[in-house]
Order: sequence, then C-alpha cells, then structure tokens
Amino acid sequence: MTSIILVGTPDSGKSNYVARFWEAVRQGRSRIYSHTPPDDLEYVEELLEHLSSGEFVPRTNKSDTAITRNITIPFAPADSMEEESNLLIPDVTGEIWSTAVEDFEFPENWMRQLRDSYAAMLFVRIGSELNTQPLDWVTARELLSQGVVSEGNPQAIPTQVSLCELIRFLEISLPPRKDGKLRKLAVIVTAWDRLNVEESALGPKSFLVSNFPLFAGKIENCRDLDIKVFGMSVVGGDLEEDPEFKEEFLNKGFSGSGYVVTEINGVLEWDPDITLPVAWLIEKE
Amino acid sequence: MALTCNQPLCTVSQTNLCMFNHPVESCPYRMAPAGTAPQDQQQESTEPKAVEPDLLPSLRLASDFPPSFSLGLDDLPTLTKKSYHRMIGIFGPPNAGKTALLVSLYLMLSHSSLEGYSFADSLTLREFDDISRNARQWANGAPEQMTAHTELSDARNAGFMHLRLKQSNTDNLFNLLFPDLPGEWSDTLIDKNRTDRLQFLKGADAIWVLIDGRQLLEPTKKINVLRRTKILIDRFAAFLKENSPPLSIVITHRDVAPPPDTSLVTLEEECKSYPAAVKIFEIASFSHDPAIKPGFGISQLLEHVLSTPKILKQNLWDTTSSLKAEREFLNFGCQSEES
Repeated sequence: MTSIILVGTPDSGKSNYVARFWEAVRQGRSRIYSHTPPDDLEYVEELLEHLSSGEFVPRTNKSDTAITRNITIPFAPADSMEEESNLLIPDVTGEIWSTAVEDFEFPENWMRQLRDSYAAMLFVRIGSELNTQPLDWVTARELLSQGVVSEGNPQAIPTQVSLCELIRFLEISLPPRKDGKLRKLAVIVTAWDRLNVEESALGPKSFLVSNFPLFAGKIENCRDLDIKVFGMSVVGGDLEEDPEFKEEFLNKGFSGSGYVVTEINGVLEWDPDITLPVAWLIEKE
Repeated sequence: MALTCNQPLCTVSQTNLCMFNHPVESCPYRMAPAGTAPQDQQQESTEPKAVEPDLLPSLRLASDFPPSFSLGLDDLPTLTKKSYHRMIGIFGPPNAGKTALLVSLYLMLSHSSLEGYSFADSLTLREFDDISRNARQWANGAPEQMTAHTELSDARNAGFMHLRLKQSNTDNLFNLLFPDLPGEWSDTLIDKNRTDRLQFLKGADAIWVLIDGRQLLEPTKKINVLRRTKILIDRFAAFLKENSPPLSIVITHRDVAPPPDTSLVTLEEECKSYPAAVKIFEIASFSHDPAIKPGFGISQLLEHVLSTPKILKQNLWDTTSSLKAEREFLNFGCQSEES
C-alpha cells in the first residue's frame, strides 16, 4: 500500500483537492483510475456536495480538531494493471500542522502515519486570508526596540516560514524509498485562477519566488527531496468572487473543469487532469 | 534532587526548564525521583496534577519534531562533517546592534532584497523569526555558557544560528554559522579576559566587532567606545594568536550619520596590532533616513567574508579542556564547500 500524506495549514486547499481528486478518479478520464471504488465514500461525498452546489469546501471547524478523517481511495495509473495503491488522506484540520510549526508537537498517531507515507503533497493557497506576510521593517524596528517580549505577541509566524518548516518536517520524517531514489514532494499552489494573466504566465515557481522567497529558496536548494511545484485551480475559477463563472460551472458540472499548471523545461503547460501531481508522485521512473 | 521527565525531548534534568513551560514542581510528566519510597511516591501522586489539554487519547502528544532554534555545541560536529561551514563571531557591547544585524539579514532574505544572495536553507529558521518578532529574549540575564543542544525553550539561548545562502552570480552555496551571544560576553571578555566559553572562536572564519555608531557621534562617549574596542581587539589577538581570523569593525546606525573621520583614523591605527586583516564597514540594519535603505552595508560585509578563502582549520586539541564537543567542533574545517 502506498500512502500520500497531505500537508498544509488551515485554508490551504487540501479538502477542496481531496474532493476534486475523487471526482476526477471517479470519472475515469484521468491519469489515475480507481478499479475499485472505496467502501467509505461518506466524507469525500460530503466534500463534493459543497463543490457540486457551487461552493468551495468550508474550512474545517476549529472545534473539530479532534476529528480525524482517514480516507482511502484505491487507485492505480490508468492503462495499468498494477496493484492499486491507496491515496491515504489524513484530512485532519490544518490546525495540527499549525501546531507542529508553532510548538513542534505532533500527535503520535499522525507521526506514525507520516513515517509510513510514500510521498507528500504540500498545499499553499493564493490569496488566503490566513497567509501571513513577513515583518516589514518598521514593525520589526518597533518590536526590537521593546525592552521585553511582547505579551501575546500579535505577530504570527510568516506563512513562508511555516512552509519551510513543513518541508523540514517531511525531510526528517518521510521514510527512505526502497528504490533508493529521492522521496517526492508535490507542492501545490492552489487557487491559481486568482492570478491575473501576467502573474499566471510567470508560472508557479516564479510565483513562489516573488511571494514566498524563503520557501522558494528552500525548494530550489533542497537536497533531500525531489520537489515539483504545481499551480492548480480545482474547478477553473473562483466560485466565491465570480458569479458568472459559478453559473457556468453549475451548468457544465465537473467535466473539463479545473486544471494544473506545470513547468517543463521552462515552458508552462496547462493540464486539465487534476490527478497529475499524484501521478507524478507515484510514477515508476 | 535531580529532576527527570518521561518526555524524551525534555531537558529539565540539565536545564531545570520544562519543555511545556509547566512549573517543574507540578509538571504532569515529571517522574518520581529514583529511590523514592512507595509511600512517598503515593504521597506525590496525590498532588493535584495539571489537567491535560482537551485531547482525545489518540491525539495525546508523544512525538515531536526537533525545533529549529539555535544549535548547540554538540549539534555541530554532525553538521560540519557534511560540508564546510563558515563561522562568523559577532561581538560588541549590549545595544551595539548585534541582534539588529541578524534580524536585518533575515528580513532581507525574507523580502528577497539581500544584494547578491538568496536564501537556500536554515536549520534555525524559527530562531531567526522569533528574534525578529521579539518573541525570544535572553532569560533572567545572560546565559553563562553555550548551549549543548538545540533546546525547546521560550528563552533565547547562547548557541549558533545557521544560514545557507546561494550566491546569485555563481549559484555557489555557502553555509554560515553565527554564534548568538549576549553583549555581556563581550564586556566580560574586555573586563575579565574571560575566554573559557569562547574556545569555538579558534575555528572562526571571521570576527565582526560591532560599535554603536551613535556613540561615536557623542563626544562624551566616543573616547571610551574606542578604548574598549581596542581592548576587545587585543583580547582576541592574545587569545587566538595564530588562529586569529580576519576581523571586521562594523560601525552600526549609519542612517543617523557617518562616523567622524577622526574615529575611523583612530580605529585603523588601533587595528594595526591585530595579527590578521582588518577592515572597517558601516551598516544600517534599520533606517530612519529615507536615503539609506534598511540593511545598508550588510551585503558588502557578508561578501567580504564569503570572498575570503576558506581557512584550513587545524585540529587544535585543547589539552586543558574536558569538553569533547569543543574538540570535535574544531575538526570541522576540512571538508569541501558546496558549490
């Protein structure tokens, strides 16, 4: 069994991806195909109900921290009779990853799961209200001039620091591959549709360099993981801010909706197959 | 009576500090001391226990990620065996601007504005970030010794901060270690010649001596600042002898005003006795002057170190030291640098 763990702080797009991934696998026109539908579809179907009604999956309620959902979707590469792997989705609220970043604490059961994972996907969402920018110079100067540690310091850990730390956790915890190759990590930049044409044309790596330079540097120079960056829009547009797109989506449905942006030899490619990152993670080279 | 804890990463037995910030007397993870009689253990167990956070048993915390706070002496041998690490000792009295320099360097990397270099990695990223947000300060006065291990602690430890930088025009990668020391250690080096905790400097690639540039502008303070800088340089020369690395005099707060020429002349004269190369830099880690960007001069300061050839560090066994970690640390200079 092969497990791929999804990593990301709250509102990074994990749950929307889970839902869309299942629908893509179910439709049978993607690189990943499920020979055997999972027995337990309750959770993914709940997620899909949101998308089907033209709504993004809401953030998991913070009070649901204790609720964990292990979803197992048996899958295999299309046109393959390979033994199915399982996409193991520990779609726990991102709060557990946030706590790991803040306090370095991680529940034992999840650590076991992490150490059993074959590969990982790390999510960051464009335009999330929870994305925190690095300190500006004025604020930093003011904070340093304070004689004591600020009580209840309102400055949150910048998102790019959190992302670097999450990669570090994966470097430490993902088990070595039996074939001796580097362990794989797919970085998914979600809500790609929120960029304008010029920004989008630069590609996901450039987006990270411009917006999260520490994270981009960590990715570029990571020696312990094979990292590939993907841009992604799970339905191809903004269901919240674009009423016209929402209407079009509700008329058309999931077929043909959504895309993945990759960079191959410096050339950007838009691919309608949402399962592409997972296919890359599990491909036999 | 030694404190022990059933949490594997808690260092309370060495530091008297609970990793969860519980009072050590009432920490729920504290173990009964060895040899405690059963009735005493029973007595201890009736003490009210701290209530666990609201967690289901399946979520009880039992494994952690290693923190990315400052590295300790014992952390370094493994690190430095893999690749060359340039160590830059940053010294200067309290408020000279040592922390501001590190924060400024970190912020420039965070905003991709460090001329000539970009961020590649850091094993102490949270340390940099916490210090920049003033979320970490020296606890209860300055620490007395370098920390042995990376510690999970709210307080700032005397340890090493790590950066890996990529040079833009060559793609060469450089590993840097910055000993993070309180300003009091510079004062005691000057006043008491206390070098016992500075043995690691024998493997330094550079020393930066910071001077608060504002004090050079005040006639009543300038003389003493220059005097004590000279004493500090002499202390380094006497302590390090043939191991003296290149030294940079770093005059901070350049945004206020340039230092007086007379001060620069005095500094150049005082540095002549130092056994290695000396260069003077002016920096502005932050800036109140719109004409001077925050981080002014830091890129040049860094470039000066990174353009200097690597030092072939000798295995300087200190027969008087009983600290094995320090000996191992001094072996770290022999590997090739990444490129």
